[in-house]
Parts: sequence; structure tokens; C-alpha cells
Amino acid sequence: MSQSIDMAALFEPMFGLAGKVALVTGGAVGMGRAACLALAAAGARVILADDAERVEQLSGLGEMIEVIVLDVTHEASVEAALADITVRYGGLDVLVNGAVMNHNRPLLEISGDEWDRVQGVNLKGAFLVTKAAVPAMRARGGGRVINLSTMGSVHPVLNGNAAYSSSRAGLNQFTRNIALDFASENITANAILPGAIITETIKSGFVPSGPGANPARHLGGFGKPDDVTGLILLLAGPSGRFISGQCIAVDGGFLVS
Amino acid sequence: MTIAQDVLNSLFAIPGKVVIVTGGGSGIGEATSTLMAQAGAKVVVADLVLAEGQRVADAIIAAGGEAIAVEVDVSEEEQVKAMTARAVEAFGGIDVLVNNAAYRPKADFFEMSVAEWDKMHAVNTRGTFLGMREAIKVMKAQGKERGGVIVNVSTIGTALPTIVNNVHYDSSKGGVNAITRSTASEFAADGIRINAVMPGGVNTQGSRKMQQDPSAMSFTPKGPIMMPGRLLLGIAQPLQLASAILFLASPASSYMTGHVMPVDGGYLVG
Repeated sequence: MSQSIDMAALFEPMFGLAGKVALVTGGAVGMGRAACLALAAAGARVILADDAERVEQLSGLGEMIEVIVLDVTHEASVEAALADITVRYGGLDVLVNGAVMNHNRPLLEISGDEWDRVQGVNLKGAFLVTKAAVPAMRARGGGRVINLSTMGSVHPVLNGNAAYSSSRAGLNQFTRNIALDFASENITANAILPGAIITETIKSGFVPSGPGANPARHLGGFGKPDDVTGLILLLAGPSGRFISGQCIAVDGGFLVS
Repeated sequence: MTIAQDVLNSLFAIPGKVVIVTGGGSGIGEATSTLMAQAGAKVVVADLVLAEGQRVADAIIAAGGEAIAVEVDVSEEEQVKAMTARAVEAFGGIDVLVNNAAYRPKADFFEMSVAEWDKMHAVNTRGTFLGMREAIKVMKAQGKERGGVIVNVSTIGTALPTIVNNVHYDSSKGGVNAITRSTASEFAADGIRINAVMPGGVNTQGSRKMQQDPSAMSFTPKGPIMMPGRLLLGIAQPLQLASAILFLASPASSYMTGHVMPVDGGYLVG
């Protein structure tokens, strides 16, 4: 490495987020939490939103991360949260829709109400937060929407995943439509399709079956939440300006296995 | 507000890595060579035109980086072997190969000669294969711990047609996409990651000529990508492609392989 090379001068203009404001839903655990830490490390003021019981257990996140309680399925609460962010910070630059309801159950055992709850968090929740976030992004002259989807939305991974995968496939197309609708306002929208990334939200005792349960299919082994943070910083930062409407797999090669 | 510089560095810096960029003397290749050097890499700027490669290498060295220029026609097996051998000799291995060199002339579907069809595939498809074969030999020999990374430059035209008279080009790059996925599967166990980018419209010498003076080309470009508004985010600067290529070459993408990534300014949704 040449000592004369100035990494700070190189990477700050490419990936730095100093002065930017980011909201991460589902920010208390897993990839949401990893996203919060990475965005804060890149210089952003981060608002971490999650359920009350998860938020209560958080500590030691650093001064760049503040925590709010938010139910993404409750329209008035979502609108109030974004209005508050806009009042305090003048708007929003980055939204990570990370709130997720993991769900796995044989199709014939899923009730209609249960199906609706999965879609409610995973798809309608992203809609409600994005709808409230766009005006906040307009106030800042543009923004970045990053949706955490799943590789299972494009290729079946586990048995019993129909409700979850369908909600994420909907999120993928929602992403593309947001990219189209707001391109002229400097708002990009992309989705990340994580593969077998192990998080604490996977219930203990869960025995997976299906293609994703075969270790040989995961060419890069199992992933960890930090494996998506590089892509999040690319999509959130100045270098990601030209990337929009994409669903990008971070799957350790599952799709080519 | 403070930035944790060490976090950005650990994700995106590639200090001491040996990077070969084919077609490195202009356009996306020049931007990529320059950016890789700024990110800490030792760069082999390989180009069909040695003077262009040397110009880029000289600029890197003048800025305090490390680079050499190599003349290569990527469709020629012996020249590609010489290129990778030169990289190993100069810098002691190969960590990243960016297959960016491309042949791009347009041709009428009915009037195109077989020789022209073959030349297109010889440079773009065979050239990608040859570069990968020689680089992966070196990467495998380096062992799984060091491994390696390949980034291929494809075109968004493989996913959605862009302009007419481009069938042979899109076909040659469709092969590049397939090579990317097949080799990603085959060499994952060797610690080698292989991905590609699909650029949309990029502001390079070639595309400027197309926009400003269509008569300078043998054909007037027409097709979906020439429609106003289809590139939702406008035309890209080469650095925007180089940024995505650096991402795919850096630890930031360490869990990605076999992915063909559009960097197209929203063309696919426009």
C-alpha cells in the first residue's frame, strides 16, 4: 500500500454520510442493527425504530444512534414519527425498511388472519413508512430507500415459507415502482436479497427443510448480519446515486449453486 | 458528526491488492484503474493501445500510487498469458481481475459478416474466458486464504435491449453473464468470488461520439435506450461504474458471488 494514498479523502466522498439522517425500522436486531451501526460509522445521524420490548433492551449504541418505538403497521404512528424527524432534522436522507415478521408454517395450516399479519408487517409496513418518508426526503432534495427483502423472494428456499416469501416478492416490486415514481426527485430505491444470514430472530428449535437447508447450496457458507452493511453503505452513499430499481442478492452464491 | 474512518476502510479499501484492469486505458477502465490505485491497489493497466495504458499508469504513479502498463489484445491467448505473467512478476500475484476490455462496433444484422460476429465474440467472450482462466490459475495456486476476485463488465443490453445493430455485442456479453455465474459456482470453494456489472448509458468517449455526432457512426443509434427519460437517473459518469466495480472487488461484497448487477440509472424500471 502506498503511504501517500489518503483513504479518508477517497472514501468520505464515496461512502461518507456526514450530515445525513437515516431511519432504520427493525433496527434493534439482526441486519437492521448492523445497518444502524454501519450508517452511524459512516457519519449519519441514525434513528433506530423497533418494537417497545426490543428497544428496552438496547444500550451502548453510541451518540449517533437514537432510539424510538414504532409499530410500522400503525399508519398514524408512522406519520407522527416521520413528522417528528422532519421537525427535528429538516427531513430524512436514508430509509432502511428492515422491520420484518419472520414466518414459517406449512401452507395448509396458515389462517387468513395470519397471512394478513405477515403481509401487514413485511409489505404494508414498508409501504406506510416509505409513504411517510418521501415527503421528508423531498425536504432534503432527495433520498435513498433500501428495503431488506430475502433471496427466497426469487427462489424458493425453505418449505413453509409461502406467506413470508410472497410478502418479500411484493416488496421487490414495490421497490421497483418506488424507483420509477420518484426518480425525478433524486430518490433511489433498491432491495437487498440476503441469503442464509443467521440472526437472533430465527426461533430456537426451528428445523428448516428445503433447498436452503442443504449446506452444500451455500457456496460461501452461512452469512452474518454484517455481510449486508457494505452494500447498504454503497446504496446509501454518494457512490450509489446511479443504482436504482434493483434487487441485489447477498447470498453467498446460493443462486448459482 | 464524526465518521468512523476505520469502518469505511475495512469495507472498501484494498491495500496492497494486485489488480488487473483490461481496457484500462480509457472510459470505465481508466476510472476503475485510477480508483483501485486510490483505494490502495497495485494496478496493471492493460490495454490494446499501450500509450493509453501508459498514460493512465503514469498518472497513478504521479499521484503516489503503484501501476504498470501492459499491452494486450485480450482475444490472443499468448498475450493474455503474458499479461498475467507480467502481473505476477511485477507485483507477486493477482488478487483482482476486472475484465473490462470490449469490442463495440455496431453492425447491421443482415449485412454483418461472419468475421465481424466472430471478432466480437473473440474479444468480449473469449477474451473474458482467457483472462479468467489465466488469473484463476494464479488465484488457485495462491491458496483459498488469499483467493481472488473477478469483476466482469457486461451490459444492461443483456437484460433489456438498448439499441439496434447491437445483436452481436449483446450476444457476446450474454456469454459473459453465463461465464460469471458458472465460474462463481465452480470456484467458490477456492475462495474466488466472481460477479459482473451491467452498465446502462455511460459518458465515455464512445458514447459521447454517439450522442453528439451520430453521423460519425456507421449507423444512427436508435432503440429503447435512446428514448427520452428511459435512463431515469441520466447518463453515468465512468466513476459511478468504477465505484460499483470497487465495491465488488472489496471486502464490502465478501458474501456476494455469481451476481450480475445492473448499474443502469434505472433503465430496467424506466
